[in-house]
Amino acid sequence: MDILIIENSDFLLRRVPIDKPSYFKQDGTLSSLAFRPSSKNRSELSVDLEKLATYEKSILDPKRFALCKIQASKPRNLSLDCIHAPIESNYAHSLIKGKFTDSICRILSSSAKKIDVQI
Amino acid sequence: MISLFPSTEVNYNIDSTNSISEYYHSFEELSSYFNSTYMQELLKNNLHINDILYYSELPKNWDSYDADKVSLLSFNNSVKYIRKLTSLGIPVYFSAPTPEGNILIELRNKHKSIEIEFFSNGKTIYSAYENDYLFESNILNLEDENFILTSWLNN
Repeated sequence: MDILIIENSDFLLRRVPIDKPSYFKQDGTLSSLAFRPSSKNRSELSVDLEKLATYEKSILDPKRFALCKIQASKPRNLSLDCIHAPIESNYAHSLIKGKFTDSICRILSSSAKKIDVQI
Repeated sequence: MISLFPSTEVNYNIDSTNSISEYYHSFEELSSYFNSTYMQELLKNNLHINDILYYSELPKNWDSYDADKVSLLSFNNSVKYIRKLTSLGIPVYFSAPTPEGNILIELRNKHKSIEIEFFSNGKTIYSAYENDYLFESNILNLEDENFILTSWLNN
């Protein structure tokens, strides 16, 4: 599979739970948990490269998840790296890599914009 | 003990009109108290407890990104602490499971917030923010009766 270079202007998609639990708070802001890696690998966060993805596939289940997008320049400004890492089932799969502190997760969450996905 | 239905009170003295107005006034006050925003916020703490019970039943990978199941210790400690907060009159603003299987709750007052995370190893850490800047972060002793941070939150 071809590996693409992610430009700073490219957008990355992150799937966020909205239905028990919801990572959106009462005031509509996004919890920092949305950009916190799992314990499987604390230095990597899975995302989809928007230009290779379809919203329908990325969202998985619109009743359970919402899609948020963030420009690749944002994590890079926080000393994180964005790399295209396709997997067999998802060519758009990419990773944000680096040290994820609570502050960094908060900044990423506040920078992300919810996408209105019509399916 | 205030009766909510004075007209059905067997021992109610109907000759005492002062008692009627006192009773009605008290009922109005009681009703107003329970309907107040503050009380509604406290009652929501029970909803957070119910939610956390639900979260504890979520399967692994509930977030589609390999999230762990919520640990029993995180569940127990968070529920116990929310009950303590309720007894102190402190409403919980937000609660959620974390990808690592912990429980996170947030207390909030205007531009200040406190996030409290209950870890699967029994440790609890709080982070206090003011205008989104980290003010303080430290280990929280769940047995500590002096929850000084709530004073900071309300000032």
